[in-house]
Amino acid sequence: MRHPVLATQEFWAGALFVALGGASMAVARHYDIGTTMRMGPGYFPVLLGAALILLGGASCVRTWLAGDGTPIGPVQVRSVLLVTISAAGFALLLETAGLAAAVFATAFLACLGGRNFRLGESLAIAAALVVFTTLLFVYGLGLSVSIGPPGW
Amino acid sequence: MKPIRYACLGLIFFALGIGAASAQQAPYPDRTVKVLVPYNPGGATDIVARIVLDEMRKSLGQNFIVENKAAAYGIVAIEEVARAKPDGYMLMIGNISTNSITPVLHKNEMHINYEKEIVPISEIASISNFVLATGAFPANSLKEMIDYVKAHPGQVKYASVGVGSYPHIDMLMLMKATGMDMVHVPFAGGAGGDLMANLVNGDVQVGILNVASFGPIVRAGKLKAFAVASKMRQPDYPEVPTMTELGFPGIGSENWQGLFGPAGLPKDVIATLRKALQDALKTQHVKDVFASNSITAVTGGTQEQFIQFVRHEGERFTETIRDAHLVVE
Amino acid sequence: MLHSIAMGFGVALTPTNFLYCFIGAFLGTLVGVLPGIGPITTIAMLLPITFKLSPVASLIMLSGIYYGAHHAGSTTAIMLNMPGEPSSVVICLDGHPMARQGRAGPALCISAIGSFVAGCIGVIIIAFFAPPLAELGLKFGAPEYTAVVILALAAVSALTQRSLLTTLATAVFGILLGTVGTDVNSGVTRFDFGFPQLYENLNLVGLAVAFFAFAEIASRAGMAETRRILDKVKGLFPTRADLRDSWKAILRGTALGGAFGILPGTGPLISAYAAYTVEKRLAADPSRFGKGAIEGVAGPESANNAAALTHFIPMLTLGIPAGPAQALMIAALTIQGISPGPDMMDKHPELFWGVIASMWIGNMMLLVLNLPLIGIWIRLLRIPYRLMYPAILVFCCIGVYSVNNEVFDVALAAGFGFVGYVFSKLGCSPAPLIIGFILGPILEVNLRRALLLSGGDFSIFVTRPISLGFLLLAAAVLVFLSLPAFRRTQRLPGADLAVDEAAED
Repeated sequence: MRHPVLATQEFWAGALFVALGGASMAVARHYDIGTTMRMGPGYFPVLLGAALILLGGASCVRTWLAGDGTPIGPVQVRSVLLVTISAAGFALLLETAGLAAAVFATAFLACLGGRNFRLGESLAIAAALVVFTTLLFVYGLGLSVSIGPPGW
Repeated sequence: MKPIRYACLGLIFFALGIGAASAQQAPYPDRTVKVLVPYNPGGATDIVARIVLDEMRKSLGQNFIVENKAAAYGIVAIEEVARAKPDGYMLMIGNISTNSITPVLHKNEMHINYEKEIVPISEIASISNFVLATGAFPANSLKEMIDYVKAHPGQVKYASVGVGSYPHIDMLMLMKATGMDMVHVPFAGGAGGDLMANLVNGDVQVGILNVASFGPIVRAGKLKAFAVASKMRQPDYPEVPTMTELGFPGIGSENWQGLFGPAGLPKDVIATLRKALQDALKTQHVKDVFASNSITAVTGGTQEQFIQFVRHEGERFTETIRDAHLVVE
Repeated sequence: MLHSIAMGFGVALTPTNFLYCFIGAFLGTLVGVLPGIGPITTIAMLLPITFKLSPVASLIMLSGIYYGAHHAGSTTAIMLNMPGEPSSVVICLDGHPMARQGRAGPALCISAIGSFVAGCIGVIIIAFFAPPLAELGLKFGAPEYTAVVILALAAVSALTQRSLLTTLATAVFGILLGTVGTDVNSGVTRFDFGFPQLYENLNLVGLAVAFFAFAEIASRAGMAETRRILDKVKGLFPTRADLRDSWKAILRGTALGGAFGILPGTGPLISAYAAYTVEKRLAADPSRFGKGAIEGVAGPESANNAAALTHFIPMLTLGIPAGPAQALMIAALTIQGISPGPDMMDKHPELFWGVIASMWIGNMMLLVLNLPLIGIWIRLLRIPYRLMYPAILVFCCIGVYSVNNEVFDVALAAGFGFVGYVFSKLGCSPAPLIIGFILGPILEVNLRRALLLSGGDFSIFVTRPISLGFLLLAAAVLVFLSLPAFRRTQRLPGADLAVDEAAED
């Protein structure tokens, strides 16, 4: 089954890399590039950025010419966002609210991102994880975090 | 309100007051003290910190735990300590690089005013540095090395543990004082064999590097030591003359470690810490470990002397750093 | 020589030392399964305890932790597509597909057996060849490292999945990520955007967790439960065919691992990677790789373990740590008053030979520990994903945090997790990225250093024999890999799961 080029992985991957390559070159251009014999800090990044643009561009072109590629699968926006937020939430909460709060929030948010969210089950998982991680990491392995808000 | 309620309230406040007062009376430390070490575990500063803090834990009865925060030349650790409450429960053990060089070299990147917000508490120990050369180097003394280098400008290569590290700056100072011209080859600092392997196999020829890690290799004959940067000759290496003896009194640093804390620490906390530290340095265990690893304990002196020392170290490097345009914008 | 080995065993088999060997292997296994909390963190945490043990016991226990964790890293790679150690990245490629086909048991089993065989041979190598190997290791300067890494990167196309261009681009992006941080040769910090936490390089654990674990969780969490793994567990032990296919891979892997392990820094990763490429090249049907070819597990796993052992050689013979774990062990010895150095073999023979003997014992212990555990791991796989993934997520977060005690790392990992999700939707597999990330900076640092040493002269790479040898090998590899038989595209795990599911229906 032929897919339109704009719906293929290869095309968008290529486009992504072109963008990333361009961005890196834009940032790296401020670093001293130097010469091939005495490379400066900017040499490699600029080179790599250029390589990315080339490779990405080639992928786009090749897909265009072939007119076909692998389709992109369905995207679960809610799951992705919630998983990312729950991990970020951990970073935010750990030093401000303590391990227990961070673990609970992270676990609960992660469950929220799941396909079949069940409130009772999620709360139970979160609570169990708080207990388990506290025992394992703080008491067992000696990780230096405060369980509750700092100073508690 | 009824009188009985007033009485209860009064009692409660009274109890709270006593509680608060006694909390203030509780001797320092009354709970775990966190000590940041701006290096990954296993490095010289980390080892010194762990051994000494272990002894302090025994004498003061509270846990002193090490938290390794190795990011950004010590900036992250320094800033965290500066922002901490000056109650003595958040300290750091830093060294010449993190607490004298970084504040100068990376002044523009720190979000705090180092001079005002970090207070040196006590020096702990120091490790001297050798002026080293690879085993096959055609020289057998510092003078011969200088002559050789001057006869071959731009051809001899020296190692350091990073741009702006003290081995780098020390060598810059030595080169300036003697007119040597060498090529700088920086290596990533920290534990790992790269620098050692390159020095031993002769790809890099010289360097100013620490006695603890490189001494055994000198013993084994794979490296030569021309001079040592310390006040006196090292007991384990009595044949190596000091830089002062050879006519370079201000050049060459010792990698010293010290205890630091946020500004505003109460005087009794500082006194307690200093005493515990000095006691720890006098225990047999610490003495043994230090002795077998060429680490010199630094005892005696006052806090004021240490503060001056740290400031002076920073000043010592400032000119060279400026001349070499090493300050980061 | 035999007398020394006998003495070594005498030391290693005392009840105390035996016990510590077990404790070490056990702890290492436990800790290796947890993402982020790796052998280095554990060794660092246990350092104070070693104050009270004898030097021999300390070293035995710490080494046990080290290779216990190494091995456990492959377990998570197979079971969860999450490499516990950087060198386990390669094991994900065929190990995880095997697990998803219900063949986790044979995969884990072969990996245990391969490790054990590699361990036995590795110990023999150390015992007999330690000093000359160490000397060889010392000869590796900047040009040699550059050549070795060029060889490794030339083989990246062996990891090709659907699109060669995508694989290459992903690897290049990985290298680019590797440039974040301080540039050793100039002291300039790159791509730091003003964050001091980015002055050092990006955290490898953070990246691995982000691109492997977070990305996978993000895509699987929202999907319907699959019942495949639960139904099709095809037995715990490898079949005769498996064993027949694997034994040569095991031997080849051991040889590669033993050789490459001596290199400070990335020895184990390069060995695993080289073993994978070799197996794929030598296989009758290379298209099986990436879909669950058992040689793809046996070879790299053996290489991994052999390298983990020879990684100790520089430390034991010269006092030079090949990696951070060894540096910690040197610290442990230092605290005990022993200065490891070239004379350690003479001054403390019981330490040297005792540790070597305990390595063999430790390997055997790992086999004994891990085989029964396989049954438990399989049962763990049966837990519905919706119950497991929050736990995995939490463990990963804690693990990433624990590397530097830095929440910034976790936040960054969360961000990269999102990027990883996008990548997997677009068919970019994380393995080339991680390999590029690790190898790229080594290439850059050593290339520039080599030029610095030679004064800008490129001929240094061909005038030094070892360097020249590796460059020729790299050219040969490129030729091999571009032969038509190899250009067939295959799929890699980590690429979009949803598409896989759709295709299977």
